[in-house]
Amino acid sequence: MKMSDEELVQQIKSVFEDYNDGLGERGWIDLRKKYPEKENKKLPIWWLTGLAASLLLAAGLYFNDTFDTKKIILRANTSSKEHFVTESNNINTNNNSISSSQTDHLANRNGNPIQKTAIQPNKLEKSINSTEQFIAKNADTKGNNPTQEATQGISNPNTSTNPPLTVIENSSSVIAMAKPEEKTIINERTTSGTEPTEQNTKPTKLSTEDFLKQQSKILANNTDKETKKNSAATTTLDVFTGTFFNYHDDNEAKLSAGLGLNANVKVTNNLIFSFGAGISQNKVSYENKVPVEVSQAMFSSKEGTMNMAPSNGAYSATASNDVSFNGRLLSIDLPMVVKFFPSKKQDFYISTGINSSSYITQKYTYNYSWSNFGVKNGEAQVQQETEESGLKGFDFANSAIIAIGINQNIGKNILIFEPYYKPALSTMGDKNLRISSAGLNLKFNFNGNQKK
Amino acid sequence: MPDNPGLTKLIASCKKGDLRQQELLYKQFYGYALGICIRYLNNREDALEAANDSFIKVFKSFQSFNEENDFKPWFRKILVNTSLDYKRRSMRFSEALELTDTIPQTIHTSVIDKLSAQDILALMKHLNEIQRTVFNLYEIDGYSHKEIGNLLNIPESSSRTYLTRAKQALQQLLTTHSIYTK
Repeated sequence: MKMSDEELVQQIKSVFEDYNDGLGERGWIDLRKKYPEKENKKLPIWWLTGLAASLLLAAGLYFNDTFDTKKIILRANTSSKEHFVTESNNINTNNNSISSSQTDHLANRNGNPIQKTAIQPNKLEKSINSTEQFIAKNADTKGNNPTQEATQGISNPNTSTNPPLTVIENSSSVIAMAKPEEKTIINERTTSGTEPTEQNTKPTKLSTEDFLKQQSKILANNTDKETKKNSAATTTLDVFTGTFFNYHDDNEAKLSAGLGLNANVKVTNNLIFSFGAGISQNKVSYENKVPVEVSQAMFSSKEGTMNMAPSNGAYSATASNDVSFNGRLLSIDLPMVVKFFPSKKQDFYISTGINSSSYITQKYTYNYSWSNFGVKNGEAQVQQETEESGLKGFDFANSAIIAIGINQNIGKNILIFEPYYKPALSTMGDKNLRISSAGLNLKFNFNGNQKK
Repeated sequence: MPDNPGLTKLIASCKKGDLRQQELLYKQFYGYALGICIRYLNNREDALEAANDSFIKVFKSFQSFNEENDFKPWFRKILVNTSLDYKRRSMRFSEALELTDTIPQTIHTSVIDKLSAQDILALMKHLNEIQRTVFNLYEIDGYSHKEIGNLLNIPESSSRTYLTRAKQALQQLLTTHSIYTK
């Protein structure tokens, strides 16, 4: 190179090394229009996983309690209470006393020490003659210490930490009230704290199994409104599967599918809050009209290789006219909606809400054509790139949910046909895909027919 | 070679997504970025857009930057590639000067020394797109002919030819320029 060439190059380098036109501030404002802060949008995956797991766990535990254990415990509690009162009364009859130290009294009578219990005096006031026979019978059949046995039966429920069923199992036999007892239960509840006014006169000896059956019948026939209210489920569970179309602008719609679980919590008589978790596949295809945000995401994903190594010019094709793009996202969806039942029959509802997603897998394929200095006559070459990623990302409220549900009773459960529309509120996944969808959910609602 | 501690700290903050620090980095390297982009695109508006896009790429892909390396060369590559992408989008290579028979002339040093950025840009405008690009890539930004060949998808030999023609054109233009400035 000649001297003048070298000097020219040096001059160009020095002149352009810091070509500051003093408009950096304006330049930054321009940049901020394209580069909004988004750090709050993407939540760490562990946070999302934790949230999803918590939701499922909470729903699982709640339903476990609501549909299985709760009723049994209720019944058992009620039974043990009655059981306890009856036995206490029976024991007390021998002493004709109302004092709280009646168990001591019993111990003295039999010559054996008996553990003191916290029996409430007011529940032991009544003495019933017939119970003497019970004690006597027990003494005959079980040995010399009938009161001790009976006291075990009493003391267990009073400690209140032991499950009531243990009490029943521990005692070799229990005294259950026959029909008249039903009245006793009602009286106890309605008079709250006052003494029962009626007592049965013929206690019968029943096996544990018989006793439980009888108690179940009693509770089932109980007309007390409060009891009914307690037993009515305010929360139900849906299992759903859906097929839907993903689309964007005038690009070809793609058929996708999903499935999941929803919990419905009754807020008022005609309003239900529903939330859940599901897995769905979303597919989208852009032919020729690639949105700006997608092409920008394509740029940014390629920077590492594009800028660190000499490029072959392939990325020139990121201009929107010569690119086709296919995206497939397998996502965990977290819908939250409010369902409104306009009619008293509750045979249909209108729901609206939001859906948030995280992504189990993301796969993007783009085809682009490019031309550059080396290609004659503008002839383009076609290239294909595929990108895949694993579990990551969380987009909160990426779509709205608008749906109508039509209920079809099937026994105690409900089959729901739910056509829906999910317009995109924001973008999905690494490539900022803006996906709207419309489809049909088929939901099966467990224990849903308790609506009145 | 790593950058000075101040810049390393600034880059570390930018990596965490600190917008204020990103603004500081932007203002610190604004002139540097614009200077590179304008050489390739030859007008301020396009250059600013390319520079801003380059900054966005930097902010988004900072995680891939190894702090053991110097920031400027890494950023330069991003700026050059982004500028070339802009150029490819418009892809209008003027059939400008084809100076095949220029007579080599020696231009007085004092003329070159006095060339301002505007003068240089004005001179560059007289080169056709590919000559200007090759000249910038090879002479100013230090790319080899092989790299230029890969980058522009042209044979290495073509890169050499374009460079020679660019230099000849510049000499001729400078001669004219020096005549006018004398």
